[in-house]
Amino acid sequence: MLLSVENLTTYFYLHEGILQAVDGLSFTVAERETVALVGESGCGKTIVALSIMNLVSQPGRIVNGKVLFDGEDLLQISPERLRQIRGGAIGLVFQEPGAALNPVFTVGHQISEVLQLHRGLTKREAESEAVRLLGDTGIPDPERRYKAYPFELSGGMRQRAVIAIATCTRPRLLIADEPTTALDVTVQADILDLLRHLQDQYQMAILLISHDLGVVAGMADRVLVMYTGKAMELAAVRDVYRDPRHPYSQGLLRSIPRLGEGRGELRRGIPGAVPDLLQLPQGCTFHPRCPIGDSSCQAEFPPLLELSHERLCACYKVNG
Amino acid sequence: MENSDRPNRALLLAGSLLPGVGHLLLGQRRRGTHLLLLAVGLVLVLVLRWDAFVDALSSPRLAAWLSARFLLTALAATVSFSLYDVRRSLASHEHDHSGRSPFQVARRRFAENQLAVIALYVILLMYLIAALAPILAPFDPVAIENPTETQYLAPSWQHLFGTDEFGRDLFSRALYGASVSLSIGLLAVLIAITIGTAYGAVAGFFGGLIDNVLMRVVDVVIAFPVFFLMLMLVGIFEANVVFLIVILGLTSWTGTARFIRGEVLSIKQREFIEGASAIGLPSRLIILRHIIPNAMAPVLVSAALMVGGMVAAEAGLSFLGIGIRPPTPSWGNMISQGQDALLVAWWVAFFPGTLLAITILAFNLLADGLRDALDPKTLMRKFV
Repeated sequence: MLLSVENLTTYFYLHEGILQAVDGLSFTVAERETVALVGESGCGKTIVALSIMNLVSQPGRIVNGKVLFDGEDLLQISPERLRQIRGGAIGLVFQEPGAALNPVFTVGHQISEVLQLHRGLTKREAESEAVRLLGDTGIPDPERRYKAYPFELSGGMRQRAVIAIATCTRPRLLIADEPTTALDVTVQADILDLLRHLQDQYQMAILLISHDLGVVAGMADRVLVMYTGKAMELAAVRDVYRDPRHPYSQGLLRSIPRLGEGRGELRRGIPGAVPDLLQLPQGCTFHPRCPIGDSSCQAEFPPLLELSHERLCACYKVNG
Repeated sequence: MENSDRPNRALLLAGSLLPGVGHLLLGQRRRGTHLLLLAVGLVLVLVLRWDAFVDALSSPRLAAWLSARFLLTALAATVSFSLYDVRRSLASHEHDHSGRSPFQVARRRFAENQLAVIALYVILLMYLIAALAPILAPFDPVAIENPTETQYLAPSWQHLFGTDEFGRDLFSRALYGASVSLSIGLLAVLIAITIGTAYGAVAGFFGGLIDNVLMRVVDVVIAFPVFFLMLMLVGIFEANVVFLIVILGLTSWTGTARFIRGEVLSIKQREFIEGASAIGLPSRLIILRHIIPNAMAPVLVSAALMVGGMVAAEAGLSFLGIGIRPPTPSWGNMISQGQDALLVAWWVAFFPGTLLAITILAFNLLADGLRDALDPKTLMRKFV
């Protein structure tokens, strides 16, 4: 297994109390596989990405768990080894491509920096390689864009540049945190195509973080549905979309509008709102919003149990 | 097109042997005029002060020796830069694809502020003159000859700024004084900015205990009575130029450290810093390559302000007799010397005082211009 996250627990120690951003999450990503983390805003998806890279900063702290990448626990290894893996074997793509680039350096300079750091290229080699990589990501006129500053590029081109930076070391795992959220729809499709193309070319695994179920359907092999920092359902993408088992997954899918549906028909989404992470409901954190939940759900959070082959679900009602 | 370009090209290259002419022919008037003026000025100095230059070339005194080398280097640099630049703009066919960095944008905005540009020219001219002082000065600034005959001569063509009580030429002394005062200002600020930036960046980046300890040290340094420290040190050591630079530099980095820390705290929160960690860049390089360049704008502004302040501080200390000691001239001790004779010979204090005021004013105007050019908020104000 390329990446194996075991019982990952990340808390934020705030004045108001302890915020359980990620609570006992376990999942795996195989070589060349695409796993999607899905959930509403604030359910801890991004913190999972940062925890895998061991990038959680104060007041957050990873209090428990293992992140085994190729057998090495990224939470235990030396800082030097960790730096080699960050940006080397694992690439990270951010949500906001404008913010992820340093405004005072050219885009090309920032790619060259990584190439020099991780692939040991000389300045000149790095420069021509960076131009080539920019071209590979579909940026037109790469020699010219190499010398452009981030604010001179469009959002889509910036995201391509960020992807070039994240993949220039041919990583084995790419973590893409909402890679298309900040972009408009036509550009979104291009960026997803690019990610798929690079995945084939470099044989990468992708951990895709998204709240957009359309994006996930087109990209992922398996889906992990998250709610309040916990896993609700983990299954193959086809199973989740055709036959979601967990009431939360069902609610998420119901809230996607479909073509041909009557006008003015109200979407039956999920009633209520995501609870305050500092004051989570007792037991199953979803039960106050759950259509089938009852008092038996208030005792303890349900365990993630295997329903059938490779299908896991955390619900007392579904698991019986 | 190709053919008509060729003779043009040869002409331009030949023209740029006299710096600036090539640029003027290409239509780059601003750059061309600057280069031409600089080159003509340097050549004029060389021709008019040939004897002094030859003396300085083989002078055992470091200042004179350096000054002669500087003149030659400056001339060579002007010519070769002019050639290089003309060839480059010919080669790129006016189409430069490289983007405009935030600093280039700021430079353009700075150029629109006439007062600041004039201040910059004044400052550059002052430094140029200070560097060439040993060649430009018509008399020895220190030696005393025939004091009874030449004492307190009023300004004239022979003695532009008059003479002092020992009959020394005040123009020459003011030129040498410029090199002392201005280099103290610049070098002390360089020391202060370097220490302050590194210190503040480390404190802000690592935060927590390190930040706390480092900033408490800053509090202690700020609380320390610098003036008395200097009085004490002057009592122990001989105050010379290097000593003043080090002392002024070591006592004035705290302000820079404080605001750099603040800048870093806000830059640290931005996503590209997280990105830099995510590509496995070590902290040292994150600070050097990603944080400090983004915190540079306010540093430049405060550096410009500080140079003026340092020049004033040096003058104040020398005036009080605890800075540069006579006979070595500095603007401060020249003013001090002139105050005794203010009613008999006003010029002794007047000229160095004026130069001092102009310099400090120029640095303040420069700082204003830099702040307006570098601060996005002032740009906004223009449109509101």
